[in-house]
Amino acid sequence: MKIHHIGIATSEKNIKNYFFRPNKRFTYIDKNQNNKLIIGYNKDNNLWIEFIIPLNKKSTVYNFLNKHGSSIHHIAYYVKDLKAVKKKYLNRAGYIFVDSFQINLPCFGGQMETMFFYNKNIFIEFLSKYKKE
Amino acid sequence: MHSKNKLKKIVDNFLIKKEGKKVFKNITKKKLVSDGILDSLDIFTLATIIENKTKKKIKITDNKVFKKFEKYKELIKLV
Repeated sequence: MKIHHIGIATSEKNIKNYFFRPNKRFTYIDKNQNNKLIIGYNKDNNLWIEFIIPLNKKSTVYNFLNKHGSSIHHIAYYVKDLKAVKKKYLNRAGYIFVDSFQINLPCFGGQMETMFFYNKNIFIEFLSKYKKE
Repeated sequence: MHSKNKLKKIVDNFLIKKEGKKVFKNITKKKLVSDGILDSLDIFTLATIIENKTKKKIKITDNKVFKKFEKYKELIKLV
């Protein structure tokens, strides 16, 4: 399973202080998760860096940011079969299913299906290109 | 160890670590989530600890299960 991106919860003004801040950025507003996403590509590592900025108190990273400060929020893996991954981890002790949803992120290739688990104090995201059934 | 006692010990240790022993004053009357004792991250963390120690699955996306985190008495009977 290849790491697709690393998600960092932060405030927008803090991005400039990151060593791996992207030069070219793609910016999206995720109204469902109440976050602003600033995404950059790291060519050398074939890796995306996703900065997650809470828009309000309902943001999915609001508590995390308050508690931990700017830090790595999740590690995301690209998978071919999201359902198979869900089946594998859903009933496994120590893997807490958090949520799954669709999101349109053109820089990742368009409509994506994504799923979050919480494991050992780290969020793990599995994402896949959305396929119509 | 009886599972209820084991779970109570896990929950108590978590709460003590987070809030100190003062948290147990009138604990049964408190609303753990609404009163700000547990937030969403705490619930994920506590659920992971319980799963790892009891080897039993907790489906917190199930609303009935999630609501049990609100009340101490319900929480210590979660699994």
